[in-house]
Amino acid sequence: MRKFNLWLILALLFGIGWSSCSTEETCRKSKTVLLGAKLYQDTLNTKTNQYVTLSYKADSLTSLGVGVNMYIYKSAKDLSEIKLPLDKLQTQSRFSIKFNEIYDTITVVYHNTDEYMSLECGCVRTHTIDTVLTTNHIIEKIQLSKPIINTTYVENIKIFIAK
Amino acid sequence: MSKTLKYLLLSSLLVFSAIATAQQSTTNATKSKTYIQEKKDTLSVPLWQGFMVEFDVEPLIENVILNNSTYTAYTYQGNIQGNLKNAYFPVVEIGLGGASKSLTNSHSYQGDGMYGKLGVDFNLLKPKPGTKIIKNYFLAGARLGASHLNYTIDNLTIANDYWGGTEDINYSRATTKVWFEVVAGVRVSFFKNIYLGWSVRNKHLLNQGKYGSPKPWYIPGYGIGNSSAWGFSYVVGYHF
Repeated sequence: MRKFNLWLILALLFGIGWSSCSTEETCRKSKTVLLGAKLYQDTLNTKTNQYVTLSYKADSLTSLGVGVNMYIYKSAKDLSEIKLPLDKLQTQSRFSIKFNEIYDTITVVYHNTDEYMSLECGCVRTHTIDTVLTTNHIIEKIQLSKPIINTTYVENIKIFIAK
Repeated sequence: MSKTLKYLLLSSLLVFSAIATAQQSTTNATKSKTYIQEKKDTLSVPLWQGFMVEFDVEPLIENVILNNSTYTAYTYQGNIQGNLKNAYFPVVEIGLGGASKSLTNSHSYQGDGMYGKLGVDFNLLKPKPGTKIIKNYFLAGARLGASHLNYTIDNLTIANDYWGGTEDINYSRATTKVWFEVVAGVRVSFFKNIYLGWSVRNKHLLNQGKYGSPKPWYIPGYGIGNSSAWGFSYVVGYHF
C-alpha cells in the first residue's frame, strides 16, 4: 500500500509539472521563398575548340521588380548568383536586371501553392515556374533547372550571359 | 511559475488527505474483502470480477488551476473497464474535447470533437503464493483511439514584403484522426469500491495528413503534437 501511495504522489507531482508546461509560440522555421538564379557564360576552350559552360561573376549587378521602387541588388559586385522574390499575390513577376550597364527584363510566369506549416508559423506560399522569358541585350538565354520554389534555396534557373 | 506552485500545493494537499483516508479504509477493507490463496500454485479466481466506471479529473483540475494559460482546452472523458480474473482489463473510453488558442501574430485556432478508444490493460502485479490478494493494480496496456473533429484556423497572413500587400487565409475543416497509445498506471482502492489512480500515455498519430495541408492543432483525446504526444490522467472510479 505504501508503494502505491508513493507512486501516486510521484505521479501527481510529475503530472503537475507536465500540465504546467506552456506550448511554444514562436515560429523557428524559415518562411522565405526566393527564386534562385545562377549566372553562367559559355566560353570557348581553345584546346578542344569546344564551348564549355562556366560560372559567371558580374562586375556590377542591379536588380529590381518592374513597378517597384526598391532595389533587390544595387550595383552589387562579383555576384555569381541572385535570389529574387516573386510576387505572392500574382502569377507573373517581372524583374529589370542590369549587368555592367546593360538592362534586360526577365518575366517569370508561375502558379502558387499555399503550404500550411503550423499554427505558430502559419502558411507559406510556394511557387512552381511555368515559363521564364527574357529580353536578349546581355542575357543570351535562360534555362529552367528546378521549377519548384520553396523555403529550401536551390538553383531554379540558369541565366546565360552573352560574350 | 506561481501557477505551478499553486497547482502543486493544492493537488498535494488533496492527495495527501485522500491517501491518509485510503490507508485507513483499505486496512479495514482488506481484512473483510480479500481472500487467501489456499493452495500453493493454484488461484481459483472467477473470470468475471465486475467492471469499473471511471472519470478522468485531470482536465478539470488543469482548467481550474491554469485557467489563464496561453490556450483554453476542455476534455470530458469516462471509461468502462471490465475486470477478468483481476488480470485482464478490456476498456472502452469515450470523451469530448476542444481547444481554442490565439497567438500574438493574430493566428487563431478553434476546434471541437468527440473521440473513442478501445484497448486492454494487464495487471502486472502477480500475487505470490500464500499471500493476500489486494484489489490494487499496476496496469500496462494499449489503446487504439479515433477522434472526429471540426476546426478552424483563422488569420494566417501571406505577407508580400517586396511587392506589397497581404492576403489572409482561413481554413475550416472536418477531419478524423487515428492513433495508438501505450498506457501504464496504477489503481488504488480508496474507499470500499471507490478507486483512485493515474496513468501516463505515449500516443502516436497514425494518419498525420499530407505535407503542407492544414492540421488540427489540438486533437480531442490525443492532445497537442504532430506525430507523437504524451498524456497524463488522474481517474476516480467505482467498481461494480
